[in-house]
Parts: sequence; structure tokens; C-alpha cells
Amino acid sequence: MKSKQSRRQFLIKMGWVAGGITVLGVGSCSVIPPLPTFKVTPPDDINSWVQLKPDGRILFYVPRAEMGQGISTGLAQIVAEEMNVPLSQIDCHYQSTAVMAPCQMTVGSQSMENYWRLTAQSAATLRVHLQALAAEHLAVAAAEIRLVESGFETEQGLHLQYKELLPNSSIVLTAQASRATVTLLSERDNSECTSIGKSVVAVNLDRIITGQETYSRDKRIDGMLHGQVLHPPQLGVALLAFDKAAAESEVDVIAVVEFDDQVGVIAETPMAVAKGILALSPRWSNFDINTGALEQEQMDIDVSIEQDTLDHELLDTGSDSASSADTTSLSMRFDTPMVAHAAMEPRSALAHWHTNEKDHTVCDIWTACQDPWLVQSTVSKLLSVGRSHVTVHNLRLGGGFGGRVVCQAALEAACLSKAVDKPVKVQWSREDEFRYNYVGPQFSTRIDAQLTADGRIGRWHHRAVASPILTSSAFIPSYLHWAVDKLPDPGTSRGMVAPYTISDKQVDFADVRITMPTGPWRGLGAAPNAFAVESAMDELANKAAKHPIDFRLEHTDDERFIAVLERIKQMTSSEPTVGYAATIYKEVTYVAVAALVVLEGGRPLVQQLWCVHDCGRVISPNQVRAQIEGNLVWGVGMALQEQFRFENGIASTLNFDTYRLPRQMDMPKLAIELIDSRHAPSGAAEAALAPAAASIANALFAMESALENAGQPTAQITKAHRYRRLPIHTAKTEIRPSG
Amino acid sequence: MKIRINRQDYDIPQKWVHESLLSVLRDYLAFTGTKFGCGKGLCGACTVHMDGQIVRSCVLPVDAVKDRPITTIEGLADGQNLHPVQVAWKALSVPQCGYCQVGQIMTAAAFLEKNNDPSRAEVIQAMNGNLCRCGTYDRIQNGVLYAAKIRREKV
Repeated sequence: MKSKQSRRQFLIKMGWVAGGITVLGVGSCSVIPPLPTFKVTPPDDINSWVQLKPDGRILFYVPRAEMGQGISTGLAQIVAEEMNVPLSQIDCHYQSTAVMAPCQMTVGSQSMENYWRLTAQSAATLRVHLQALAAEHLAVAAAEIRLVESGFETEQGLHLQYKELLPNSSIVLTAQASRATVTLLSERDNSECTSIGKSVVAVNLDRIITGQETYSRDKRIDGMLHGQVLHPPQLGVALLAFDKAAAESEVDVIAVVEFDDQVGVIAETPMAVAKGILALSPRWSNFDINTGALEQEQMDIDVSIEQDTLDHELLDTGSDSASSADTTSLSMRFDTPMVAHAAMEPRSALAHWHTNEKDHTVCDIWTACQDPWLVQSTVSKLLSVGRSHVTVHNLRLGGGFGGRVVCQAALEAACLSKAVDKPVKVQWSREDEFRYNYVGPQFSTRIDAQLTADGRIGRWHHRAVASPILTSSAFIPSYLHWAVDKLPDPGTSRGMVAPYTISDKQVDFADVRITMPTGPWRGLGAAPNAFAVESAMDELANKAAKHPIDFRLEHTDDERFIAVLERIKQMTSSEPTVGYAATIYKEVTYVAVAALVVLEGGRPLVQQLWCVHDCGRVISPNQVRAQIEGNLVWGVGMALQEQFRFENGIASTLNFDTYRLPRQMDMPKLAIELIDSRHAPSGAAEAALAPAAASIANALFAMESALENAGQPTAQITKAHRYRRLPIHTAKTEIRPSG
Repeated sequence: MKIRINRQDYDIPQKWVHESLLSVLRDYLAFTGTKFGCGKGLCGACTVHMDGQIVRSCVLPVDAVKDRPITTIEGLADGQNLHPVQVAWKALSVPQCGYCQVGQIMTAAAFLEKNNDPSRAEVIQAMNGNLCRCGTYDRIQNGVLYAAKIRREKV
């Protein structure tokens, strides 16, 4: 029995999404675990975001986590637009659960899409409120005064600055006006805007380049201790015994804390913590995961097809083009490995349990994650205190990329701090980061396609096996897996349905839960799925003897898609051996990428990448460009280098020597074009990654084909090769020194 | 023992003398501008200057520093005047998440002391040891080239 119901719908039925974690009080339903915040903030809960400070500056609590995607800058531009102030007049603060109602977790490149209007409304409400105050002050009707920079003026030339409107210099005004009557200045065309659509210096850039920005590892408070929780050496082993006395007797060790089948050490210095952890000399249960089973967990689409285990049918348009004699069939298998986030900042948190002025025991947590409200509810549940007693101050993330939806270090710090009633900071090592976080899953895909006599795709059957992403074991406890696993994971299937018009299109997949926790990685399923779809499109175009862009154009009538495809072809018209790929990310962002690859010492080197990008209206061009650049570079790593490995239940890629990221020397030249679009703003933080790896693989084939056809004696190529497995290894291919 | 950081001397208590320079900087002296990235000298996030040369402070024992002066990001600017690399970083909006950027800036600043008019290829070579997961490499290259120009025009 196959199901078409999406897992997200299922979550809604369970009340998780509709209710959000916001209304799930502790103990209200013990079976429902704390879940990520799916719900977008309701318009009634946005007033606190934009405030006027006594000195006349604007205080803006950014409703999204800032992790380098530049959303604080983009949304601050909207605030600047609505308040008619220079961007430099706005002080951006990161998320705080004490000040703001829950905000949707910062994932999926949806911040602009879901939060630009709310941000504009929050600022505009304050502006309208100030306008009414100004009118009162000047004894004229509100309609008779107009907005000028940082204030208002009357037709008679009376002028009032915002700061002059504060009733009392010590009061911070928050807007209470009704939003029903508010017109949004941000809705004007970019050409009429003063801040939106301009390239600006990013918020907090000065702090970053001078080392003043406080990341979670940098946060310090008086009396702060250091702590670490003993982590198991392998998946699937349990702590049997440890030498508590030995750890306690280490110099500067304050406490050895046992909680929840775990043990942690608290000490005055990080090195004393390390010594204490070492002194625990733990005994672990035998490694009880069958390594043979782990190997079987390697995703193999052909095994899944043979065993008929692809239980989710995403699409079946039905067959109206029964295969005939004049069709050409292609069956292609694509594989992508497990991948790590490898954000530059290993996670960290500082937690402080203390008694507040009302004599309540409360906890402040400083950390950096993609969902501070999930940390709040998890800590609240774990330590049996009301949610309002836990405040999470979310700092700037040193990279997120989907890997920080949960922040385990924050839970560890909270548990340790509670035990000693003192502030405790937990800092994960790089090895912890690789070992104990979830990874992006492996994908194995087979695409069977048929070309009709006129070189169009008659049938397309996409079958894939991977692992859960949005219903990750990192979020959903094992006792609920039986329920969610019946339904397809919409994260795993993101981008699995090819964005092309094909009369007979069928997509089946399975998301198989494996021992290693899998979860969101930049773009979720989009990049591995686009690698398969776009590589297959290239092979089919080649078979049909058509230009790969023309071939794609024959299979779409979406005007925005056509525009990016046509433009990428123009941009690369003088390049003989480029490879192409394209995608429509989450049905809203249109991207086409082209790559030029050469071989250097037998290794592929991406020489140039071109990208045409339409993410609707561009609020902050410089930030959007930066995101595209980052995604393209990420695509180079995905195509040529990245592979997370684990053996016998333990990660064997533990640092940057074994998990190779792109470096300066791997850098291609970049040529990026933004489409000036009137459509609603959509996401840019993941879209360009999706087609990047396929464009590189396709370019490698194009380059090798050219050499093969030219028959150049110096070419080192005997036969052009299709690269269907990532990361690409050319050493095992048929590239040989000729002669 | 004493170490000299950003033109000032600091006493290092006995229990810290076997720690890495990075740990002393961050956890003892609260110079938190310098970042921990990998702990193995592989990523460059912890780069500081020792005697004007770049060193990976995460793998350098503090007792190996002896009397050689250390410069961290906190001491790079000349008072209120940003270092040319910082000026260039701001002009070109180099950082994304920003976590690796202090290490990038310190590497670039030391490199430009040795080579005041580098080619792009030389910049790539010089900056190759500093990882950036956000992928700001293109802007880093342009930033170093621009900083070199600023420096030359100042002289």
C-alpha cells in the first residue's frame, strides 16, 4: 500500500504543526516530544520586533537566526524602508525567547518568503503609531503630516524627530496600533525604495572584522565554569561504569554530574574538564551493532527495486505513451554519499541556572542554533520546569546549513549547570561535531527514461532510496518512528520530481531509517535529487543529439524557467565544453548553472561556474549574490570532495584532513546574474547548490567528449565517461595517458 | 611566565603554561576574537601573528611563545583606524557567517607585509590554508588584492 499523504500533513493531523510547540505545555501530552518550530509567527505576535529606543535609534529583534545567510541585513533593510531611516540607525539583535513569540525554525530558505511582510508590518505599525503621536504633538490631523527621514513634518514645515516623540526618555516604545490600516512602504517597487534593493554593508560586519562579534563559544559571564559530557566512542554502546572518584580528585574539577544515563565533568578550566573526563576511565557495553548490517544500510537502489521496498509513490501520471519500437531507453543509476555540515564553528552553549527576583529558579542559555524555541522546550521538558523559566539567547551562528536545528551542547550545558547552580559552558570539539551530529543522508537513485523518435522524453521513472530528513531521528524519538515512517519524508523527496513536462512520469522512493542519524543538510534532498535528475537530463539530451539547454526548453513551458535556461545558454555561448544543470528550488526559485571543468594532473578542476538566478524580488542584492557564491563553492565540494564515512558505528571522517572542503585552490571563477523579477521574494540560501554538482559532472563529460572526438594525442583521454557517483573520482575512470 | 600580546605583557599562571596559545588567549585572557575551528591546525580559524609570522594558535603551546610578540585581531587595527585588510573586507562585504574571517584577515595581513603587490595566483597560494565553509573565497581573493592596493597607495 503506497501513500500519497505527505509527512508534514501527518504532523498537522497530530496537532504538532497546527499547535506548534508553543501551546504544548509540559505534560500536556507526554507522548509528544518537543518538536522544531514549524509555525510562522502569527501577525499578533510581532510587535516586539521593532522598537524605538530613547536615543532615537531603532532596535530590531531579527525574527530569524543569523548564520551568515545575511537575513538580519535583508530584514533590517525592510525596517529601514518602513521607518525611513538609514540602515546605520538600526541596531539588530538576534533572537531571544524572552522578547519574542516563537519564530519558525530558520531552515529551507524561507526567511524572506515568510518573514519580509511580517517584518514590514511590525515596523510600519510602529511608524503609524509614531505618526499619530506626532499629530497629537503638533495638534494636526495625522493625514496632514508626512514622513521624512527619521521623523515627520507638517506642510507648514514643522519638523519632529522620532526621538522627540518618546513620552519619557527612559521608556522604550513598542507599537500597539492596529495593522489593518497600515500601508507598507516596502510594497513599492524597488526603484521607489530607499533601502530595499540596494547593496549595503552587512549588519554587524564591523564587529566581525574586528573580532568583536560574540559567537556562542565567545560568550562569558562571571563565575562561569566549563563542562563536558562524556560521549560514547561508538553508536550503539551504553555506559556501564566509570571512576567517579578519580575524576573528582582531579585538580580544579568541581563536580562529576550524573544525569539521564550520562555523566559529565564540571571544572574551572577547559583543560581540567578534559583531565576529569579522561579520569572517568569509562567502561562501555559491547558494540552491539552488526557491522554487516551497517554495510547493508548502504543505500542500493537496485536492491530496493529488486526487493520491492520503495513504498512511497510521489507521482504517477499514468502511462499514455506505451513504449514502441522507435524509442530509445536509458537506465541510469546515481549515488551520492552521506555528507557533513562542517560549519566552521563547533557548537557550544553557556547555561546559567539561578534564582530570579521573583524567587523562581530560571535558566538563561546563550547558544547559536536554528531553533531557539526548540532548545527552550527541550530543556524545559528535560528538567521539568515551565517554558517561561527558560530563556534562550540565540547568538550569531558560525554556520548552520541545517546542522543546528538541534543544539545538543545547549542541552548538555543546561543539565550540567542545573546540577551545580552555576553558569557552565560546554564547547564541542571538531571531532564531536563530526561524531555526534546528524548527517545528510546517502541517496541511491535509478532513472529509467525513454526517448521518442523526435528526441523527447516519453517516459520517466525515477526511483530512489535515502533516509529521513525532516523526520530525522534527531527530532523524532524512536517510539514514534512507527507512525511517521509510514509516510514519505518531504525533506528527502525535495526536488525529486523533475521540473519537466513529461507525459508519463512516475516517482517512487523509500526513506529508510539507518543507525546513523540523518537529517537536514543544505537544501535537504534538493542537491542529491537534482544531481540525479539533471545528470539524467544531460545524458538524454546527448542521446537525442540536442543541445542540453534546448532539450530542457523542449520540456518546460514555465516562463521563469525558460528565462534562466535561455540566459545561461547565452552567457556560455562561446564556451565549447560546458556542462549545464538547472532546478526550480521548492517551486519558487529558478536557477540555471553552467560549469567548465579541466583536468589538472588527472584531477578535475572546476575552472568557471556561471549561474542565472531568479529568486523573485531581490531585497538585498549583495546578500543574495553572496549566498549564490557560497552555494556554488559548496557544489564544488559536493561534486568532487565531500563524503562522510563511518565504520563500525563510528565516524571515520573526524576533521578537515579526512573530510575535505573546497579551498582557495579549488575555486572556480564565478559569473552570477540575478534576474530582475517582480515576483514575491523567495529563497537564495540553498537554491544554487542544487544544480551545481550535476553541472560539474556534465561538464566533465563534455570536456572528455571533446577530447575524445578530437583524438588529441596529448589529451590523456581514451573515452568520455559519465560520472554518476559523488564525489567524483577520476582515478578509477577510463582516463589514460594516451600513446 | 609572561607573554606579550598586542604590545602589552600578560602574566600566565603556572596551570596554564602547558596549554595552547589559543586556549590561553580565549579562555584565560578573554581575547575571543581568535576562533577555535579544528584544534589540529587544519583550518586556520585560530591564526594569529607571532613576530609578524602567521601561526596556528590551536597547536602552539603557550610556553613555546617565549618573548616573541603576539598580535591578535584585537590588536590589528591602529586604534580606531581599521587595518587595510579590514577596510577591504568591509568594502567588499567578504564575511558571511564570519567565523573564519578573523583567521583569514590575520593570514592576509601577514602575507601583505611580505608581498605588497601580489598576483591573484599568489593570493590563492597564500590563503589556501584558511578554510571557509560559507565559500567566501572569491571575495577573499578580491579583498586581499584590494587591501594590497590600499596599502600601496598609503605609502
